[in-house]
Amino acid sequence: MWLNSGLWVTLLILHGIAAFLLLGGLTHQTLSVWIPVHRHIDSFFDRARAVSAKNYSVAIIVFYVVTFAIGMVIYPDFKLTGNKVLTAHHMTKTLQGFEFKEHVLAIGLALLPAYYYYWRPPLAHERDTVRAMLTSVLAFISWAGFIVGHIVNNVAGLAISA
Amino acid sequence: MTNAQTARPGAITHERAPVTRYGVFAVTFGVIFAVAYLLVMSKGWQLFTYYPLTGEWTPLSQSATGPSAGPAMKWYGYVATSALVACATGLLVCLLPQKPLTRLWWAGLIWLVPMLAMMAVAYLIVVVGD
Repeated sequence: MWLNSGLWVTLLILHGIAAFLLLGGLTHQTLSVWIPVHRHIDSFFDRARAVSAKNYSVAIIVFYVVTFAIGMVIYPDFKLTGNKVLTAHHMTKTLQGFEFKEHVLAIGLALLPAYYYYWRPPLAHERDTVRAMLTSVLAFISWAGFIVGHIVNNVAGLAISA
Repeated sequence: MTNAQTARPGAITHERAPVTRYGVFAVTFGVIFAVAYLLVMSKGWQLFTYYPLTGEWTPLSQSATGPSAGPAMKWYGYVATSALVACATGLLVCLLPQKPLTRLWWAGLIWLVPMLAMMAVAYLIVVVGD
């Protein structure tokens, strides 16, 4: 199964789509938490942060878990194909980047129970800072994972064609 | 100034929110997972290792049988081991009486510890070469 390239590419694309949806939700929520809108909405930036942040939390948890689960399934194939290519071409920094991604995403997964707890209504005002920081940490983890994964995928592809 | 306002009135309360047992478990789980993950990763204390080329699962960091087992994947073991440790600790902490717990409680640990853990991960990967 791990060397079935058709299945692996399909799952990789689904992994990317789920990550993309996760990033959208988390970015809106993070902006809304740190820079809420208190006046008339004028600009694109105002619209980006004028969301009901509370309503994003469950969707974010679902997308994180789905992205993570698909990532767990496709990881063995990556280990046998993409990772092999990167190692053969001595792409140490890219490999280190991927290692960083896998570790921080696991740490992020463990934050989801607390994330759910702090976003459960009613939202206590005294927990605003913890809520904002927790959301920001998850946003950082998700963005880092997305960017690194994208770079690794591109570098591996370029290395194969070189 | 942070604000988690929503569109619905009354969705924010200014009353002091009690810490529930689930909240205690969730924060403890997140914090202990980050710490346990660092230890498991740096010491190689995973409960199992997976060899995708042969589909073999071996206990702890044991090598697979056969000469051409291919690369070893320890990451699944890291996650599972850390999750078990964090879960057990979270459940134990939940059983503690409320009063001593509130004296030690600082909710900020849930974002501070994972942030520090991520920096430690970066250090271990780049500098130490783990």
